[in-house]
Amino acid sequence: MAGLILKNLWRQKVRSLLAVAGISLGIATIIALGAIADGMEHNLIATLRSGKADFSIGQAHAPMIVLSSVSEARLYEIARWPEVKQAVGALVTFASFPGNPYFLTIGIEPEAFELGGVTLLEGRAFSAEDEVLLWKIAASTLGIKPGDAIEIDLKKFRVVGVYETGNLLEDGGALLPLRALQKLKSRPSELTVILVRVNEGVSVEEAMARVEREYAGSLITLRSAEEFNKNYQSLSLVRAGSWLISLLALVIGGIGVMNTMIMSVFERTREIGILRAVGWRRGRVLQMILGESLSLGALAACVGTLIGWGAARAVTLLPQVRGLISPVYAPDLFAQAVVIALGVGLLGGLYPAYRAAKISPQEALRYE
Amino acid sequence: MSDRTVVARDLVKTYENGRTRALDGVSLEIFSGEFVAICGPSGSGKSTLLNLIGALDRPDSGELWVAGEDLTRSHGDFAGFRARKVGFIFQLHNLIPSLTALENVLIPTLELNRRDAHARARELLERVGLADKAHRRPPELSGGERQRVAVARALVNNPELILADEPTGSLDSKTEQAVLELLRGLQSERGVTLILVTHDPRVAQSADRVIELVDGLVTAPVAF
Repeated sequence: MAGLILKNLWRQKVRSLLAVAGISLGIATIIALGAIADGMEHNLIATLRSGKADFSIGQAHAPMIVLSSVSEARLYEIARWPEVKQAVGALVTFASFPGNPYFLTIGIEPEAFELGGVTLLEGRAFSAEDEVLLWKIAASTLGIKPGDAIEIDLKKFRVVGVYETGNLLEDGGALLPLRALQKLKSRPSELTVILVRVNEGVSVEEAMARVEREYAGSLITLRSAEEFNKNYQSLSLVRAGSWLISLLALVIGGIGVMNTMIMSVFERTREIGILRAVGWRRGRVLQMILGESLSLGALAACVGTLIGWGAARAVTLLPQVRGLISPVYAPDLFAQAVVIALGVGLLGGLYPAYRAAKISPQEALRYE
Repeated sequence: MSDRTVVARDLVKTYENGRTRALDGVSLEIFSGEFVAICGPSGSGKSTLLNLIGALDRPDSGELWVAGEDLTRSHGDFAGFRARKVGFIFQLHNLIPSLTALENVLIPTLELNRRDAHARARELLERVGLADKAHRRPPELSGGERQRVAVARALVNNPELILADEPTGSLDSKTEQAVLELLRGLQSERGVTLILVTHDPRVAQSADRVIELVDGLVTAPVAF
């Protein structure tokens, strides 16, 4: 039976391959966008869990974390709470660097390094407003050492050290003194996030609840990527967009399979009549046609996965996003893609298989 | 010859909502191991009768028992019956072009899942003289060879009866004779019942008995 199924597909190579290409496109989209969204989420988990902060605070209803805006006044209020051991603020934004107009730049005070999970590898922390720390990969890519000068947003800075944080998003570029970045970006007294560590014996949940209560509607607390997803829409938008595009591609793929299989059943009416005449039950004819459409789906799962993997890799090579996005190829993403490809194959094959099973042997044998 | 493989009484089959009466009350009996030719001009209803006997179609009324099965029952698909009891040979060999001769012979065995299917298919291909062409596909075979593959396919499940609808209709007279001899030989050595539909009296002559159909009726009296 398996041999017969493959031979039937092989007979119409071009048509089969076009059907496979249709589904593959959808699968590739799912893999590529899924891996990128997973990568973004992974980075956020790392950001939110890095350092010694118990939780972060951001602006409610901000579409994405870099667009969050929190007044520095809030930081001073919260820092005075008895349950809070330490609260520090950070301004996260993009700035233009030599060769990269969208370099992730974080304004943070040296006393916040521990809470933010910053580790100095070389040099020292900044002590003046014209000093910066460079992320180690950026430093090596740009060929810059401590002591060298660098231009950020057309303003000259001196590199005094090299750091890493162990996660890609924060590692994306450079650390500047908070005040210097606020000035550079003309965003005085503005923060993106507040990182909070609570006192011993204080429940993190209670501290978070107090923030949510006292600043209801203006601030939100974040502890995990799931919470981030709930509160910030950028990832949800990426995911929703990815699903919409994938769905569209899969509908097109499904219609492609159905078209291929219907044509194939129509052309083989007489053959199917012979199979029925020599004793094949309707169920076996059904199995054969579904087997063919499932095989198209299985092949598309392989091809689509490869294309998707390649596309996600290609995206990370773009200079604009290099260092910002690192796709994560989770096993369940592949499992999901395979299940969807087979599902599309199966659904696309149902109606043609039903049609084939309904063929009357006696009428089919008269069919020319 | 005492067992009756086919018993038909007053078989009626109409088409086009009763406007065309293909069979108009056919009664006949065919015994186990018999070689019967159903003869008649075009449109006499002989193929319709063969389709009813082979459970490819159902009669409108009448009684029809084939190999112990009541083919007038209204429920169920007769695929299992066709797989176990009947071997078909059609005028146009009706092989699957993408499959080799051997695979074509194996097609009916898929339904019964017999373990010895492969050995049997090879043995039959050898018997019909095509052992060396088992891996050729139909387009690479001559008309006579294709029909011999069809004969092997019809016999692969050890059926009780073979139904051949104009099996030599598309062959030249020399090949026709060879295929008829092959059929006859296989029929007698395996003791199967062979029912052959033909419009050609010369072909009909090779049978033990000839049943003639004209306008959906058996012309010669049939004794019960």
